[in-house]
Amino acid sequence: MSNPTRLRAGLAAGALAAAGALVLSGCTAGGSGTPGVTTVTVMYATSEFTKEQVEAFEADNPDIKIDFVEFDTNRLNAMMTAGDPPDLVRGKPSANLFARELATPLDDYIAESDVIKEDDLLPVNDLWRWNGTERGSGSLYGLVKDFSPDTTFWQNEALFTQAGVEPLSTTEPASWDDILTKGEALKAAGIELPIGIEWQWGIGGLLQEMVEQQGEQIFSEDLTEANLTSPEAIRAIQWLIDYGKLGIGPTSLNPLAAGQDGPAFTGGEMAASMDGYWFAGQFTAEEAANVAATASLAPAPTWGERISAVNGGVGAWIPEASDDKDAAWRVMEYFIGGQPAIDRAKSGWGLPALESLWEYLPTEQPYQQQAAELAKAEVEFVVPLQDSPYISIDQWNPELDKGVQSGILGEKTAKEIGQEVQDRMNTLLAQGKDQLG
Amino acid sequence: MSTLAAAAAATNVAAAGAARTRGWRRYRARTFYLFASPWIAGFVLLTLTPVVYALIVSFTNYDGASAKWRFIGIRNYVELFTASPAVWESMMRTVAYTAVVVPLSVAGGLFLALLVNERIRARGVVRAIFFVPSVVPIVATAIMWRLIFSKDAGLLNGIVQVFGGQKVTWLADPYVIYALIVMSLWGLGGGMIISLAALQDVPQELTEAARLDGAGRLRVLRSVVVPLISPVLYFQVITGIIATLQMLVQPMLLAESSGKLSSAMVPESTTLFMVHVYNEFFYNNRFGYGSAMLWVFFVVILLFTVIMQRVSRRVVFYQNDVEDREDEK
Repeated sequence: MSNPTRLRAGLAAGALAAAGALVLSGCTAGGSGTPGVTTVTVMYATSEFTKEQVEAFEADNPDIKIDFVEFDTNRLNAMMTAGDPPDLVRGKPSANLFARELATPLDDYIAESDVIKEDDLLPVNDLWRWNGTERGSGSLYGLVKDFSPDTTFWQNEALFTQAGVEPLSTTEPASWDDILTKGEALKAAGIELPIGIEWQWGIGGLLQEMVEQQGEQIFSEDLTEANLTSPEAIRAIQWLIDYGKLGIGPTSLNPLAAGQDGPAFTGGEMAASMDGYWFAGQFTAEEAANVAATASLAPAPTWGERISAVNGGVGAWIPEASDDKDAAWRVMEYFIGGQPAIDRAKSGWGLPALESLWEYLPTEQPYQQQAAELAKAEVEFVVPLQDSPYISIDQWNPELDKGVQSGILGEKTAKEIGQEVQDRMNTLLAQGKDQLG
Repeated sequence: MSTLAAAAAATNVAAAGAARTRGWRRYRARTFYLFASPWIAGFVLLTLTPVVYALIVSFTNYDGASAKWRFIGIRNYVELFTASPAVWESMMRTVAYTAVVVPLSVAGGLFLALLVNERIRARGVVRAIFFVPSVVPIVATAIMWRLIFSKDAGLLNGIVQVFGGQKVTWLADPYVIYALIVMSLWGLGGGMIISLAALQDVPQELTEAARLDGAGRLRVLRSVVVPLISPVLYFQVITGIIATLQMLVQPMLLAESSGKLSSAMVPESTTLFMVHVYNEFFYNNRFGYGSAMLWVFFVVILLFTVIMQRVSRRVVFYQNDVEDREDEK
């Protein structure tokens, strides 16, 4: 027979457990402390996913609370390593991310969504596709927030005219060699900052675009080896060295204090900047009015085939280890296809990745109209560049940068740099392949 | 009382005494562990466990997030010793940097301490002025130095231009290492305070006796003051070496990388060992290899410390040693 004291203790423990279970059953896996409300941790940039947008979403969706975390690569890594990632994350599409099986496929969600529809997705979203071996096709692992053909050039035509240099054509792509020639001419005419290529944000994508425009590839067919010793790659490296040696714009050896071209261009000091459509968002500021009045967008330069690279393609993805993917998807729908997306399109800060949103692009000002028209023509030439799952661009970008620096300083030739960076990339590729098995 | 009974009683007393002693010892031990338990728990959870975990990870190809990992034996260590000149280059760079910064810091701190130890007007204010930089948060310090060294808007280039010079890109190779050294020396007020405390502990009768014997200021400093404060200087050297060898944040903050903390854009000359480790962890996602690097570095620092400890016996003057020797006589 059981001891009455023990029995009472057992019942009390059972009651506590039952009460605990009842409390917990009110929450979903995300947990919020409030019954029936789940919490979605969103890691994004406050400047892109605003507090007002968070509040508007929560007002319309009382069953979801957003716990906003400012995007930070180190913090994301730490959260991922700890096994407790955010539920929705800002990110750039990367074969390496997909191959590591860190992102959730979104196909089923899109198939059932009333907000984001498959036939509304522009091809730029293919940057987020992965078929198990290469990027560009297969399942969708994220969505582009907005984008730009990143190697199109904004130019301040007034500075060109002042220097007596013909501005870049706004319909026909220039050659990369033309860019250097115009940069030299502008500099000779006294323009201190002739051409910016946002060097500090990485030159890997630019180099790859130049190589692919010549019909060559950076990676081997199976994406396990790099090729930076081809004549096409050497030509591209030489272009970067020449750009640096001519001193026609900022490089990592000679960076701008602001860390980007924006203030120099809108301040009327820089004649042209390789920044893409999104840059126009800055021209609406009052102090940029003079520059905006004479600004125009020129197509991405080429060395043969017309390829216009999207190096960013920044958007959002849902980690495979997310606690509540369904709730995260609802936030994603809102952010990528809801009112925030409409507001973004109207602002001119980037091109919408959904076709239906293009009607909102601003066209009141002449420069806005010209840029929107050029963007419509340019997206025809946007294709995903080759991307190896065994290495990320963030890995080989610094290697290339350091290599080109030595070229600018006159320590190495383009060929030597190509060989060195290729060797280093091949080492990293081998390590990445080993990791993925 | 018979002899046997007396012996038994004595034995009982002795046993009771021993029991009391054991009880007291047990009580003291329990009390010690009770009060020390927060630290012991912290050490086990926050130091020992991660260190052991890192050792285990160093035998894997873990990437920090993906479930795709496996044990690879000692391959990370083999690669470290055979296939990575960059690792050893960064280690040698770190040692060279340490060899420059630590002596300058200690000597600079001592020099400042001697300076503010003088009886001058507003001595407290002067001391505070020298000490303040060492308590400014490192991020603020880095921002300040970036503003000074900035190419286009920097104070230093402004001065250079006033004298007709050309702007210099201080925050890129090859000059950035000098910027880092200057920034590191900015905080030597901390060493000054420690040295100052030691200086004020030097018995005046010894320095006065040396003066009476005809020793000049420098001779007094070299033969009396420095030996007497050598334990404090040694403390600064050893902690300075360990801290400088492990330097990570300063080179990252000083790199001009769109204002973000980025190890990948740190120029080569300031890619110290820990920056290299950081790159392996968070840019190459090689947690296993990075852990192996840390373990090797741990052993290197440990060996270094042991050697320094041995060498210090010959050059550091401990008052206790003298007293012990006198006691032995």
